[in-house]
Parts: sequence; structure tokens; C-alpha cells
Amino acid sequence: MIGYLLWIRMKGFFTGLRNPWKIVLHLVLLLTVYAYGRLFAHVINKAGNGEIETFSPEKMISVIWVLIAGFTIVKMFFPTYTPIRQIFPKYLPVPKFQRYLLSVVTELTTSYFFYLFLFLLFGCWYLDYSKYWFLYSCLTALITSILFKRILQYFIDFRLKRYSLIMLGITAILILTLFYIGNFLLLSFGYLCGLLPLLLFLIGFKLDCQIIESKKIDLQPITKNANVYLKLLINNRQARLLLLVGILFKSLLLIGDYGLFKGKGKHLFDGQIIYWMFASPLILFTYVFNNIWGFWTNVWMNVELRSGKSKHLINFTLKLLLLPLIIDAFITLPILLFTWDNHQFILLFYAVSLIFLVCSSFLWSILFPITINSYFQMKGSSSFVSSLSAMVSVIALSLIKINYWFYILIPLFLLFSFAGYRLALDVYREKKYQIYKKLNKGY
Amino acid sequence: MIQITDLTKNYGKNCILDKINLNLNFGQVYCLLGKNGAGKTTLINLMLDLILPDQGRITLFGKDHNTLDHLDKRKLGVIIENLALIEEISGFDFLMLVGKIYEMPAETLMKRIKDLFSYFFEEESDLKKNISRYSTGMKKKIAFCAAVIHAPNILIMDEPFSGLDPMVANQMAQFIKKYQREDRLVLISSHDLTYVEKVATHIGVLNDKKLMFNASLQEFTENGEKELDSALLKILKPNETELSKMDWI
Repeated sequence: MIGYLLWIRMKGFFTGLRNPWKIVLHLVLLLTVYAYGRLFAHVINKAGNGEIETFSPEKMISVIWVLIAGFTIVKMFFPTYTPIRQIFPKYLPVPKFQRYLLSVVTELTTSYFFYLFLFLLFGCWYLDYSKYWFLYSCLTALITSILFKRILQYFIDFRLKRYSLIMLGITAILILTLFYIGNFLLLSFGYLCGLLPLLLFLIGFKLDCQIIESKKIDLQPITKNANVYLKLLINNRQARLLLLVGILFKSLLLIGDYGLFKGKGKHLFDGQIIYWMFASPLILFTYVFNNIWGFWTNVWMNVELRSGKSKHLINFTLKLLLLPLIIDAFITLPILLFTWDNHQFILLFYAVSLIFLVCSSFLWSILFPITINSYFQMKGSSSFVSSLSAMVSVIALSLIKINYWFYILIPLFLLFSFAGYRLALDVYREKKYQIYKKLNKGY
Repeated sequence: MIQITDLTKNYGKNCILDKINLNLNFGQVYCLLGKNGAGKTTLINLMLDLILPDQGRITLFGKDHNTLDHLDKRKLGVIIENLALIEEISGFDFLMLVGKIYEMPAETLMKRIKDLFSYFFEEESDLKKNISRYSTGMKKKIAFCAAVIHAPNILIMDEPFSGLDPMVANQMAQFIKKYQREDRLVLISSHDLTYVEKVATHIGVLNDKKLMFNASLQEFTENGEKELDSALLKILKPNETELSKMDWI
């Protein structure tokens, strides 16, 4: 079974090498351990030749033990805490010792172990003094620290019987012996120090038998999971790409406009109708948010099945919209305010178009959902009706720049926005079957 | 409880369910059996008001199924065919989100996530992994956790055992058995007779657009004299004559 496990892990390692970045990473690691192995061997050799008076080669080797042990313990918590690897859960009918043994073997077949082992081999190769003592004692320190780390983890990951505290006491004494007065003891014990990992292995097994519950899950009492909306945006590949493309495209246009204004005192498209389509947050809606349930179908499904409240859906939409809209405002408003004198118009146009587009997106997402199967699809990522309507509305709103009389459009747009919101709430119950039918064709 | 009266559903000219009548009461674990395409999922989707019936009426908790408000839906737990998992977030985030939709108190929610996770999952890191990285079995488990986290009175599950390894399917069956109470109703559509036998109190067989059988497990197996699969095959009558024609096998 152990042989098969090693074979699987080796196979997994080589399969992972299909990714060229992994090959680069492994090469970098290989070079690093080679360099460090050679460096440490060089320093020990110098100490052995008497060129470094403050350190003897034995002292240097004991420094390496401490470093190895320190790294192993720190690695347990950094960058994140990694619990004990157990190949077979407790409920599976695998003999206790076999399960424990496999768990330990897994721990000794990690990249971390492999590269530290290579470091020791390189060090041993270039050493002139105590070659085999270096390899043997450092390998012992490595295995001992891994087993010690596992013993600590038993107390973190599992609920154990009280008896196990005695085990911890014994382990602590053994470890103190190794790392603080180890110099004296190890040297006097010589190669017998290899018994230490064996002892820790047996203590670990004893602890494994002391587990009361399969595990102790320590969840953080999170009351706010605000980052869920960020994750929904970032981890939805289609939405993420379309939003990035949209924002990038808009940014390029606005930067171009800024350059043109600085150079020639002119605006792109002469500052006419099309210009204002890009100045508003329209692109976010025609790309993604006019078809919000097409992108996040299962969010809709969960809200529908578990609450059915259209207000919950609108709440979700608003939270999803928040970050892209903030980014859009940060990109757009400074450039518009810098390149145009009429600040009142700019702010009013941007705010009203934003309100209108947000409110109408609730409605379009319910009335015209579209399945999203790929990043860029021929039928578009939102319905033609919603895109056309949003474009016409933004163009109509830009008329307020031409004549003050058109300011009458502002209360009308706000009224339409409210009507769109209300209509979305009202038609939802009737239209939800259509959302299900359209978005679940693939299932 | 669930009451279905004269329920008919057609997809175009194709009739899927024809005048189905069914009464499910609290205390039952009702297992709906039937061939592929018999209409089990359609029946569940109709109950959950995801699709419109052509005729007939469905009531849940004594109310028409399409008039349930969010308070009624809090008493309903579901696993639908596609599981409806939000794959962009982690299992923990998903359960938190589900708990928030049900407006569960934060402490209760945390405790239940912890308990369910301890029961169904092995490594804590699984809870923090994005659902998109879960295996089929893990996805089913997290969907199950989301269905029961608010301890609903009616639990409707479409194929909960499929894609699970025997150990986890067994765990799930044990959970359902423990979950059964006088004020709870569990409806399961399943192909997996091994686990159906473990949990069912009542059996329904959908075949040829109709509910062909609807009675207790004892009646179905004729007081244990018949195995569940042979009792089912007696109703479904598989085509054996075609098999005998295949002389090349």
C-alpha cells in the first residue's frame, strides 16, 4: 500500500510538470537548495580548517538542525495552517497502525521534505569533514521535527484523551534534550540519536489512538461575509473577463480623450452623443449587469428556492454592482471633471444615468435572461432589447447638455427608474418560470 | 405536508405527468422511484414552483405551492437536480450565505455548519476551498448540508445518493433516519435502492406518466417477503423479450 501511495504521489508530481511554470518553480527550488547546500558545506569546511575560529564544524551542524526544525514548525502555521494529512479517514476500515503509517509516509513525501533532503545531499557532497554524520544527524533532525510538528498538530486538530498530555510532556522533554543540550547528548550518543524519530513515531501513534472525536473544527465566528460578493465577481470567469475588458476599453477611451484634450483642446467624437455613452457606466450593464442571473444563475436559484423574495434578489444585485461601480466612478469622474467645465452637468448626468441603469438592470435581468456559455458569445452577454434600451436612454439623457430645457428629463428618468424597480418586484413571480426555463437548458 | 391533486405536466405534445394524485404526511420518509425520464425531477420541480403545471394543484403546508412566502420557504429544505451550488465561493461561504437567506441567528448557523461539516467532511481545508474545486461527492454533501442547515419541516431531495461513495451515502442515510420526526416529512427521489431501503417508510413508483404505486414500504415489499428491487421490477416490468432476441451476446 505504501509503495502504491508513493507511486501515486510520484505520478502526481510528474503530471504537475505539464504546467511549464511548475517546471520553472522546481528548477528554481533545485538551484536554491544546491546553492545553500554548497554554501553551508563551504562554511563548515572553513570551520573545520580553522579559518572560522568562533565555530566548530559540529557547532555549525547543530545550527543547521535548529534551522531545519525552526522551518518545519514555522511552515506549519505560515502562510496558512495546514492540518495533519490523513489519507484514510477514521471511519474507513483500515487498521489503525496502517492508517497512521500512511499518514506519516505522506508527510515524508512532500516537496518540502524532498528539497530539504536534496539540500542535505548537496551539503554532504561538498563537505570535507563529518560527511556522513552531517547527513545522518540532519536527516534525523528533519524527520524528528516533522514528527514533533505532527504531535503538536494532534493537539490542535483533534480532541484527545487526557492521557495524551503525558505523551506531550514526554515529547517536550525529548525535544528539549535534542535541541538545547543536544550537542552534548547527540555527540555522546552518536548514531543512537536515530532512535529519537522512532520514539516520536511511536508517541505519535499512541496519540493517534487517543483521538476522541474525528476532528475539532475551529471556525471563525464570521458574522459578515462581505467578501462573498467580491469572490462572486472575481471567481466568475465570464463576468470577470467581460468586466475587465469593459473597464479597460472605457479607460483607454477616456485616457485617449484626456490626451486629445491636453494636446488639441478637443474631445473624442467631438464630445457628442457616442462620447456620453462611454462616459456613463453603460458598458458595465450591456456587458454583464443587464443579465445578472445569466452570470450568477445559482445565486438566483438559491434565493428563489430558499426565500423567493424579489427584494433579496435586488439586494444581491446591488451588492454585486457596488465594486464595479466604484471602480467605474473612480476612473470616469476625475477625467470628466478635469476635461469638462460644466461640473454640474457631469455629476448630474453620471448620477442619474447610474440610478437609471441600476434600476432597469433589475428589470432586464428578470425579463430577458440569457444563458452564458462562453466568454464572448454571438448572441451577446445581455439581451438586445436591454442593450438598445439602455443606450437610447443614456443618449436621451445626454441631451441635457444641449439645452437647459432638457433638465426636465431628470425627474422623468428618476421616475422611470423607480417604475423599473417596482415593475421588477411585481413581475418577478410571474417571470421566474421563464428565468428557470431559459437558464437551465443546459442541465 | 404535501398534497397533489390531478397534476398534469406536458412538454409540448409530450405528456410527462398525467393526473397525479398524492398525499404526503409528516412523519413519512417518502421515496419516489421510477425509470429515467419517468418524471420524478419534473414532479419535484413542480412542487418547488420552478415550472408551471398544465393542470392540477399542489399544496404545501396547506397553502398553494405558488403562494408560499419566505417564512414558508424557511420550513422547506431542497436539493434539486443540478444542486444549485454557487461555485465561485467556498463551502463555508455558501453555507453562511444560505443561512443568511434563511435569516438564521449567527451563533446557531456557526454551530450547525461546524456540526454538519464535522459529520460529512474530513479536512477543514475542504470548507475553505471554492466549490468549483469540489468533487461530485463533495458537492452533493455541501448541497445536503445547505438543505438541512435550517432543520426544515419538509425536506425534498432529488437523487441525494447518486455520485456518493458507499461510506458517505451511508452517513447520509443515517442522517436522514435520525432526521425523521413526527413533524417532518422527507421526500426523496432516488435510483439507489440500497439506501432507499434503509430510510424509506413509504414508496411511490412513477411510471408511464402515472403514479403506479403508492403505499408503505411494508406493503411494497409484501411485509419483507420480497426484496425492494424485485418488488420494483414487478411494477416496472422491464423488457426482457428484446434481450432474449440478442443472440450475439
